[in-house]
Amino acid sequence: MSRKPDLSLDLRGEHCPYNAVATLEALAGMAPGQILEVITDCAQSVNGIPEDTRAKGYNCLTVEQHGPLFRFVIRVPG
Amino acid sequence: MSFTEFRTQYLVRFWSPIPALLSLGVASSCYFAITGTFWAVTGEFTRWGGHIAAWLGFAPQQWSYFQLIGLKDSPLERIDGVMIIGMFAGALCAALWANNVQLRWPTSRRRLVQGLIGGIIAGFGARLAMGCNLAAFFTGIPMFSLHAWAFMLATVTGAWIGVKLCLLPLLRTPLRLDTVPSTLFADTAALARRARLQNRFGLLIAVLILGFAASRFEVSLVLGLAVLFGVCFGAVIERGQVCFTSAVRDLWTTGRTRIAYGILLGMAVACLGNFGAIALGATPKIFWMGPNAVIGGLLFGIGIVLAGGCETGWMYRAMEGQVHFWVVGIGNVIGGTLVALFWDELGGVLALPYPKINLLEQLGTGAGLLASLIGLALAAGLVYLNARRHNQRHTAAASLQENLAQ
Repeated sequence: MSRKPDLSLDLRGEHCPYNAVATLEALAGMAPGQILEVITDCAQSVNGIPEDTRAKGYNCLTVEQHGPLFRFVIRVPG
Repeated sequence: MSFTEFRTQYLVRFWSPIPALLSLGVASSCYFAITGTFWAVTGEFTRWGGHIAAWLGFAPQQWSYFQLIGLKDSPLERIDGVMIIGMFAGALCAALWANNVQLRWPTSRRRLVQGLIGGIIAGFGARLAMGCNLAAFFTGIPMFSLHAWAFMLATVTGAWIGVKLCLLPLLRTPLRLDTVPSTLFADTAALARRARLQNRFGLLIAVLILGFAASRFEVSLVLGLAVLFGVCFGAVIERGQVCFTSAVRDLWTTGRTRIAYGILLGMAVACLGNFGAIALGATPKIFWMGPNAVIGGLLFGIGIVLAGGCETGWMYRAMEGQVHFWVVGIGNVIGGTLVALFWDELGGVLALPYPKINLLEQLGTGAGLLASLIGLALAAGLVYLNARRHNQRHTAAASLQENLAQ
């Protein structure tokens, strides 16, 4: 899975619940099939973003940990 | 398993919150059986506020709140005090070994003010109810004290108000969206260098805290063990990212369930453990079932959602270098100290005239335990129904969109 993300959302410095809320807002504005990359520096989002996006029907494809930074790749189904 | 595999699997990758919370339930029962007190933090933070007030020339020893919770000696001679030092060290060690310590600055000054105000409200609410997400919730319900049930329900209600406040346009920041993928992850060599450095710092902290534990064992067995329990508590909440705020708040934002189930299961385990400890002669800590528990819970729920973290949440996040949560911690100490300062007015009306209700005495020993477990199961059912409500709403919206698209 190496398709380039269509949009990248930088959430560094934000804490919960803004990470999950902003991710869902960004996804809501995207077209089916598009891919969103999310960057956070709040470790809690490792629990939150995958659970929330999956519950809302998006495909959370990867969760990566790069030291203090976290990267998520989420696909809008369709 | 090689050491590298072990490190990736357990020291770097985060733990699943449900087993983490189960182990916290077991550990908190052992802690109660050994020390005779519960795993709690805000009372000690309020004592720190008392020490600061004393340096500023006040006489907090004479305040009735400190006569109630005690303000003898220094934090280094108190069970709660050394346990908290252990928690900070455990969380710091865990974060360092995951290469997860970095100064993280908030996105705006407005967030810092929000954190400070939220921290003050949460600290005030917690101390008014004689506990926080621990003593009036996670370790309060397993004490079979009715006030903890009132506090828990009020906290969930307060969190709803907190969510409404948090999502006001005033507190939102614009989305930073870009069409180009992030380039932040290009330098893997730098990341590996960072990891080596943080490993060494982690080792240093581990040696220091073990030395500190040894020095406390010289004073007494209980004090030494309290340090070690603190290290476990701190490490597990950081590794599992155990966020009580998320558990209550995200019932209202997205209908999350995992951490909430974990907390309820952890409390069920602790109920059994504490029941055993009490049967063997330990004295449960019971507090007044008065308006203080309800008002305190409401304020606590609002405060933790505004601040983004509760007492245990800010502790591990502060160790990860999240500057926002240093401010939340300061807010907590201020809020708790305000309760201490005005306790004669507050406690006299809202707490002291009301009875301390121990469910094991009120309902009978077996029935009290059973009622607590049934209550926890009911709460889990409500969490489940709430998640279904959220997802149904989503499914309904999605099918509407599909229909419109066709």
